[in-house]
Amino acid sequence: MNIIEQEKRNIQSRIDDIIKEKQLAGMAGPTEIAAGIPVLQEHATEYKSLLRMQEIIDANMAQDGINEYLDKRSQTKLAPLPNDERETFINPMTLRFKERDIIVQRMREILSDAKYQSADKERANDGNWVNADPKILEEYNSLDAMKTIANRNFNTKSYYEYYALRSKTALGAPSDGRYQALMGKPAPAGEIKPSTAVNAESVHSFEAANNGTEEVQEKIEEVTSAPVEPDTIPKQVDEEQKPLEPPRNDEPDLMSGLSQREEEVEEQQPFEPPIEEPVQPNLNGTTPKAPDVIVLPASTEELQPDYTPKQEENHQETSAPTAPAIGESLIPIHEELIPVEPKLTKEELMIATIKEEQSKIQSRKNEIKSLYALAGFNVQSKTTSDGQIIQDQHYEEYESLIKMDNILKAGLNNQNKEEYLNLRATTTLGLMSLEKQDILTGSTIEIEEPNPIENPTAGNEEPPIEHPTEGQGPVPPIEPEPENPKPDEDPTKNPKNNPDHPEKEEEPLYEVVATKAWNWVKGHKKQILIGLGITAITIATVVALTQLVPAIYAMMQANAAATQASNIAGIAAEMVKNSQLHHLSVASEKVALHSANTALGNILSTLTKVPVNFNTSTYIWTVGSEALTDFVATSAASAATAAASAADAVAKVGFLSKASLITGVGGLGTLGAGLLMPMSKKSKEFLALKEEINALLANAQEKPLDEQNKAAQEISSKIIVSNTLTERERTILFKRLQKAISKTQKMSKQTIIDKKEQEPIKDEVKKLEAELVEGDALPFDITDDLKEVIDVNYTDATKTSKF
Amino acid sequence: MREDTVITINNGKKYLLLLESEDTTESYFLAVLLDEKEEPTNNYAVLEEVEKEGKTFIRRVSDPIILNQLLADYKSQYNDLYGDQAA
Repeated sequence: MNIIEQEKRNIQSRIDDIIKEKQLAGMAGPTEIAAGIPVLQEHATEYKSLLRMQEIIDANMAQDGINEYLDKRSQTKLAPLPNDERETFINPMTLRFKERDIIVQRMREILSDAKYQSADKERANDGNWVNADPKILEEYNSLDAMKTIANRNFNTKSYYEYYALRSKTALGAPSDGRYQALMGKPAPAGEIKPSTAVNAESVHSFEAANNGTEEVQEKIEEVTSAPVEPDTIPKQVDEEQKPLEPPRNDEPDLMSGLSQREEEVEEQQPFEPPIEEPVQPNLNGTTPKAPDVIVLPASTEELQPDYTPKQEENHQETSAPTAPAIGESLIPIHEELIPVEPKLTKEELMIATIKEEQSKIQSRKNEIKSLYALAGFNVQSKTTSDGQIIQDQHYEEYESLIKMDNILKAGLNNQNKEEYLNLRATTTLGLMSLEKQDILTGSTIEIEEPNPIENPTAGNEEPPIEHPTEGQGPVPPIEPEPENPKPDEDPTKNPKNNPDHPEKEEEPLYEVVATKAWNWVKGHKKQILIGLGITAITIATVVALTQLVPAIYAMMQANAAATQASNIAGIAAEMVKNSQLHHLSVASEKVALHSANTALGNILSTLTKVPVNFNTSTYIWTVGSEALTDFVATSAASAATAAASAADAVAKVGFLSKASLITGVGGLGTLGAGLLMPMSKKSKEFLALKEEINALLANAQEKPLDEQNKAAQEISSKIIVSNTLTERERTILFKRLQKAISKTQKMSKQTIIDKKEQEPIKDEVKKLEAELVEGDALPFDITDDLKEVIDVNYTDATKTSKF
Repeated sequence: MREDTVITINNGKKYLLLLESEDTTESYFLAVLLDEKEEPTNNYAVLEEVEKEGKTFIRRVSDPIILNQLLADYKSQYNDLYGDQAA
């Protein structure tokens, strides 16, 4: 006997007891008429509760609120229900809502884990990427199948189909009571709980097959041809009487009479009711009476229940509400019911997001057009590809907006998504959140409240006319800094700079209190950088500066040219010094000096675009046709001229930073390339050497100092002797090596060159150290081994260049 | 401080250091702010490493010229790392 039947017997038994007690009491004892039956006054409330419980059972557990049945039950003297049976009597509508929430939550957990934790992924049945672990994949597909079943109100081919799927997930097999409540009916006779797994695909195939095919039609015919036996269960059940059998397949059940079902299955929205539905027989096969509930409209947009106040007399006079049939969503009239926002499907979210994007694009285009209208007649204008005349400074952005619009119209997918995001980042719309990106490409199942912060610099959304760096693009807005910043201030939220004041206060310092390695990021760095819009950030920043601050651009050009000239002169001078040192050096040092000059000669050749050669007969270096010493003089003069031009450019710029005033192009190194130098892809050798330097730093604390020194020396040698590294690559590597070594020194708390413990270094060697590594001392000493080298002939250094 | 590490600063915020500038003598890191679950957010910052009195500090870079140059540096590194995979 199932739980429901047992409960019905218990209820009836208690009703009988109450009636008997009244009969025994006779005229004695206060009497009350409850539902037309005289009962003892003390039993009146209990009697009414029992009747109401019967009604709820007859209505397939349809009840007011979530726990009306259990509340009524608590007013009776029936034995308490076991916990696992209580779920049977909860409002099935609520239970189904909860079940669906549980499924979706678990699916989200799996997707989130795959997004950030899993290296190997595989596509699930619904197209999302999950962990490639077969168990997790199976679980996710089972959950997906369960969600499909839940969306069609647990209409399944076989009774235990959903049970089997749930058993394969972390949710586990449901209790019998819960399962019966979800299904809306007890297990048919002969149905056995499955021990073998149900294929998740079969659910989809069943659904697909249900789209207007013969299977459903057969079911309908089978059901409608069966005789309906109303009200076969007498109110008072004799114990000897055979208990009611659950409806057999040839009897009308909850699936019967669904002539519109095939279409509903195809277009099933979660808990969406059909327009019209014939009255369904209940669990007992009785025909329920007219409902006092409202059938909601089919459209989710109109899913607003009409409320009418609950009337107490309804429950006494009328029968129980109609059993909710498959596909029908019945919300009882209840003034306390809180409306639930309809959950949008993936497609609806995508459409809404696209519309939102298009609206933003159009809004910004209108803004740009209005800016031109307000700007007056003397402003520079340009005609866009769609025939609009706008200010020249907004042209690039406007064209980007047009392209974005076209992409949205054509359809956003994973192929053009990056282009769309890059274009978006160049406009005032800025970066897009990862969640919205996923919505637009349709790669998530349900979306929570979208992250409102799309643009990390979103602050004051002023129209970027005169000061575009204030709030425009991905460059964070900068504001005047307070004198004593609070310790809990976030460095990413600094206030704007006032560009009218050339002097800017320095940003506050924040102490680093902890550091930890995070190897996980190596596998996800590209994703994070894409998410930050690294490609778009630089493009936007460059666009902003070059378009709107031409003076700065010119200054940077002049500075770069001056820097280059200065470097040429500097390198040439270094080579001359090395040559002069050569004759003063021992054999090993001579080798090192010549190696250094060879390397510098390569750099010089790259910078000047002329060959730099060493004549082994005359031992003279030449730059093109000039001797090195002559070249030094001319290059020095060129550098001076370029520096003067750069200084003029700096002075002309009205909008500058303090750092720039002091250091020229941001003070970022002697060979600062930045915007103007070509950012060509670096060579494999460069990347390999860079990795070696990174490894040196990573292993600093594990290896003794001697090994670190040796490793640094080897790397330095490789950099010097390499023929494939470009000038820029070589310089970058030296800088990185220098930084790495200084950090390792700090880690080991011991300097490599300890003047107290080692011999004082010769002046000549010190100069050599200074010249080889960008003006800073060599961090490692020249050992005795290095001094044993092949002797090299040379002439008197005072007369000619050496070697 | 170096790439692929998480730093915690004295106000409790955590940053993941993604890239270190190559073309500079000072260390400038492209960093992303982490949330409570230590997952990357959409907020980034360019942080300058400053050594002072034996301690390590960071300072946010806001100078547009420096920022522009650094971001070009980072873009270059990004292309070096993922240029072949971007297609």
